Amino acid sequence: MPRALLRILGGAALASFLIAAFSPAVSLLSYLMTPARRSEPAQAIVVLGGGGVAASGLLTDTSMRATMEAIVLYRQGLAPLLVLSGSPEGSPHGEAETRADLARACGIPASAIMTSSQARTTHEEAQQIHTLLAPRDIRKILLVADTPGMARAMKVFERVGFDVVPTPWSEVLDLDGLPEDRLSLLRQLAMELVARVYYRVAGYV
Amino acid sequence: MEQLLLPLLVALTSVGAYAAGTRVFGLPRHGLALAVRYTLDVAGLTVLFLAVNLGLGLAVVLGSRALSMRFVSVYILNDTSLIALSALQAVVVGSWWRLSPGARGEDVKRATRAQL
Repeated sequence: MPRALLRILGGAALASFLIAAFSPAVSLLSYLMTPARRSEPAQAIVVLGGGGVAASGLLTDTSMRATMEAIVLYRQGLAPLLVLSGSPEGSPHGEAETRADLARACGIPASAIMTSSQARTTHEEAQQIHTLLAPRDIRKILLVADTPGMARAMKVFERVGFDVVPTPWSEVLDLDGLPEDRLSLLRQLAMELVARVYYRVAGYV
Repeated sequence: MEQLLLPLLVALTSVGAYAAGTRVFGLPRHGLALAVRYTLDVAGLTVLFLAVNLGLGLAVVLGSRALSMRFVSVYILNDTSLIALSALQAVVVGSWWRLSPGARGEDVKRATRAQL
């Protein structure tokens, strides 16, 4: 590659870094990439896996925030059933079971909780949760997922037949973030863009 | 206003480094333009290394999913250390390139032109 092109690439990378770290551009991009949050009654609240269980056996902050968001939605009476998804890895339980423990501890009756712990990707989660909920004739769900992944998750769940109400759990427009938080969000958005391309190529959405 | 603290700090220390470089250490002023060019080279190389590392990593993750029963998450690639390692690769290769006989001659010509 000629050196001039390398320098243009380097200059663009440094300019992008400065804009991403010291302006609200990344937050705005995240906002534009995320479906608007809606709060309306549905037949079930579905929480996607994410974050997992820490070595201590407790949910990670990410996983706990999503679970708490779903518990609040249940408490608001928006749906009578909580479906908690998550990785089977973790000790003593996987993410889904640890989330269920938390939900029960917060007073959600065991009969209102279902878990799905075998899926490893969003695509597999959609298929397994559909298998779980189809016998109950559940079609309309409140989907709880992190902000960057919500649009893709929504499409994947709609593809298997659900009517999805998006409820992204993280802040969607935080203009006052710290540079480190903005760069972290930029990394998540970049990964999400790669995932979107992969899901499109694989025919999942 | 608080958000401008970090860029302001860096701007102040950069001005200080320029003053110290030219007045205390006697560094030539025209050398700064070459240093900026070299920095852009390294930044460009960092982007290239990062893209190649991510592409290869993605191929390894997807390949291992296809070839074995073990599931490896793509999110393992979403790690700051990969950016730091790519930058390290770029510094080494950039320095190697810069110190090669051909590139050194080019730098000397540029520096001479800048002096004239």
